[in-house]
Amino acid sequence: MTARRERLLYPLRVAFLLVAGSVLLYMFFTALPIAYSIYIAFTDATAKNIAPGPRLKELEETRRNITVILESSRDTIVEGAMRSKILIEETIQLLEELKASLGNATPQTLSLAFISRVRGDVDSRLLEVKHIVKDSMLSLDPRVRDPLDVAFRALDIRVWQPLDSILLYKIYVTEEDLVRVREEVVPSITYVEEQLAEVVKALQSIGEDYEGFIRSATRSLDAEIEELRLHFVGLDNFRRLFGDSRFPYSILKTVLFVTTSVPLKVAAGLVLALIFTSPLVYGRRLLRGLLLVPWALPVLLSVTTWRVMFTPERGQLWVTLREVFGVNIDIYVNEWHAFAVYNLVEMWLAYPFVMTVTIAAIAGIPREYIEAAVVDGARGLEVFRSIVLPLILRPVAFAAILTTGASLQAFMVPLLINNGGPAKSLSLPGFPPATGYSNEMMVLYGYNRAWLDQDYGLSASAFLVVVAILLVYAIAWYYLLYRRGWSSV
Amino acid sequence: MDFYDFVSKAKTGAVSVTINFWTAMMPFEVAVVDKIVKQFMSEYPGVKVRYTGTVANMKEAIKAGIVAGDVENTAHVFTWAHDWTGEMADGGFIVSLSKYLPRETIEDLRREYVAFAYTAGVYKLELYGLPWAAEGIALICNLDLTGGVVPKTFSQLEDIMRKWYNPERGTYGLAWQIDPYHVYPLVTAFGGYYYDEDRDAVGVNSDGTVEGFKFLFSRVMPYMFTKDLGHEAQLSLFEEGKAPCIVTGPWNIPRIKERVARIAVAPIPEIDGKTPKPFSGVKLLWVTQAAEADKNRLYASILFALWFTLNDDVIKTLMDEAGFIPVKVSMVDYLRANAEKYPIILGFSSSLANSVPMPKSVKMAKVWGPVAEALSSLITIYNERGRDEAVASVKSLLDEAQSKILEAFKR
Repeated sequence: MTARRERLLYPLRVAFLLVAGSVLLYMFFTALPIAYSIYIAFTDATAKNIAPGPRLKELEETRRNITVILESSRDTIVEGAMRSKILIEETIQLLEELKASLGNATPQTLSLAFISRVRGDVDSRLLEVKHIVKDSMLSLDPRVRDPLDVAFRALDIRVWQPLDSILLYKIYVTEEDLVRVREEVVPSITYVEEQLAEVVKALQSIGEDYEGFIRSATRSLDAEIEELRLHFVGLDNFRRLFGDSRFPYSILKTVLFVTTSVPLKVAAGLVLALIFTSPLVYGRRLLRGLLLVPWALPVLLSVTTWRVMFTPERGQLWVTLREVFGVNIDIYVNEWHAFAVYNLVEMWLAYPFVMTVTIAAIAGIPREYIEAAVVDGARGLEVFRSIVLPLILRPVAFAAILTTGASLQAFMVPLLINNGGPAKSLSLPGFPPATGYSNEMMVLYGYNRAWLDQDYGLSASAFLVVVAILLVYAIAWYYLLYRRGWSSV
Repeated sequence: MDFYDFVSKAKTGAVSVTINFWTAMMPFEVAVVDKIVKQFMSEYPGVKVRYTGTVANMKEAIKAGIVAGDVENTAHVFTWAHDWTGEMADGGFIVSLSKYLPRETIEDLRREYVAFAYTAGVYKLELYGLPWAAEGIALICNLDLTGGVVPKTFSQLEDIMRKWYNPERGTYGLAWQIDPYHVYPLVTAFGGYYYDEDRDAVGVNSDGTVEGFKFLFSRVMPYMFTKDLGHEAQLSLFEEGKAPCIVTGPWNIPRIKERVARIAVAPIPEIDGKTPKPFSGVKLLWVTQAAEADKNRLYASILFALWFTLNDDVIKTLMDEAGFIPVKVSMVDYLRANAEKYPIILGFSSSLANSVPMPKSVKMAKVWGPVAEALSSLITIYNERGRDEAVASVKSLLDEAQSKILEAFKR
């Protein structure tokens, strides 16, 4: 009877649907992203190959047919190569003439018309070369394409542009201008000629050794495809992470930050909670509300405000600290000053949480306990130590555990205060020294590797280490709380 | 139907296409560009441009849209400085215009823009981007503080710096955000470089770079406020009249103008006859692969890019209302002819005349980090142990950065 009713209420197909749905959702929203980011930690991912664009497909397509294409249009290509070679040789000749003319000219004999004619001739020849090279697929060969590309750029920027700027807007040219031309422009012309000579050499070799051209084009395509592909690199990223002192230093610094910031946060929250639950404080409800403000403000805004207040020479707090205590806090220069400010800001951000938890716990203590203790003759401190403290210890410990997690993942505070600076030479025993940011906490380290260096593989592996550390931490607490019976405190 | 057919149809409204245009600009720039977009739509009623002015994380957003094949909602045209070219072209995210425009048009285009701007849009012999503005840093002086003088040589600048440096009173000789980008003029003045694309060479520990860094720590930093070398602090010093000059780019001009009455912009002063060359960035309009699937949309995108970069009215609006530095030859001539009307833009323009284009290669991403670390580390040493220690450490720290970069290149 009951079984039938249950089947009626919870039909099997609905159950299956729900199970399948939740498994799918879990796979999509949880398992897949986690698996993917773990996978990235073992690859050479960069901005270029992590999500390759449409070009990869194009290249692979060309690569598949390259030999056939190049073999079938052999005649056109060789012809193009020879034609380009002649044009470039003419260009080099023209450039030689230009150099000679610039070298011999005096302000009286310098002919702008000659320069402009040579320029026109050079440009038209090279443009034709460019089109031949592209149309006849010679550009697949880096021995042709790369020096030609360099020559084009150098000619425009290092020859024509300075010539324009030195000579073009002058009413008359001085000896000084000519000296500048000889010093700046003539060597650049030589440079362009050298690049063009490289192209000539490559074009010549294509005529002589066509198979060599195919090989070179294929190799270059392969190299380009390889660059766009993601590669599995095994433990390489982890070897790099621990290959010098930076990441180990970052871990140590984070652990240090936990050991300093957590006691501060908990102490501040606890003290404030005790003060503002005391019936002796008038208007405590309102004050308690106001004390929650750090919690309500966006972290971005409040941490930036702290940074501004600590700006050397100008920040309000900086000035006050110097005037009252005579201390100079240099967050951009001094490793430990910055570290101290992180602690202060972290404390300010987190005390409302600890305070709220503690206030709730204090509110839960039956008044009778305290009254009974007082009747028995206990004094204030004794009441606190023997009655209040044991009763709030569990919630406070719980808050401490959670806020420790926050300190382990310190990110916004170091990022916004000074991006984990200042930089210096970091060294730890057992690791080679390296220059890096002295307060770059673990999470910030991972972030900077991704966003500054675009080294996604290294970044993912750093985060994997962070997750492992958090896991160890979580297991330790689980063990202490449940296995060692802390929960019965 | 070829491109020119399309243009005439777009003009009469015989076709109807919508394209997405993305920028990542500051609000005052977005307002100006928005006006220009409306002007385009009234001239070409056949093309509707959906303009998004401040796209967060634009590069990633575009890449993601294209990889996912979301051609409707991804940018068809977008703009940024030319240093994205390598990454975007290598991945196939941007379209080579040489593929779709007639050869003659491409050659004509080359003559329309100043040389460095045009070449900024060319990558591996293909024309990808059309330039509409350039930017780079220059020396900006508060004329009320320098007595109307704009230093032409470093020794003139040094005189001013010496006179103004007085930390007791909170005044400093020069404001200068110190990072690898901003100190590059000193590196190039001594013949150094970070990465030479043409030769695929890293020069972070080359003699010139070492000399440039040493010069920074021995001859410039002693006159500066070095406890906070960030953008905000240094700019504030200049704005508040506590430093007579600043080295910065056109993007800070609107802010500076609000606080400083009389300014002059000039190239960074020569050092014993050597010319400091800052990095230049050329703002390009690119057409993305998302436009390629639909011929009309592709043509509309190319048309918009051409119109935007070639229309003198547009460039003039961008100059007048947002302070952009033109790179179209006709407008550069106009600028020179109206020098007294555009002193600031002309100042930046002459600083750009001696500039080095930022590398287009993706490899540059592996260079910035190690150089920044070495520089920051030297600043720490300078502040904690003084000038001589910093100068003495330059070589070894740059050696380390060089080997880090070479190591990263190998992967």
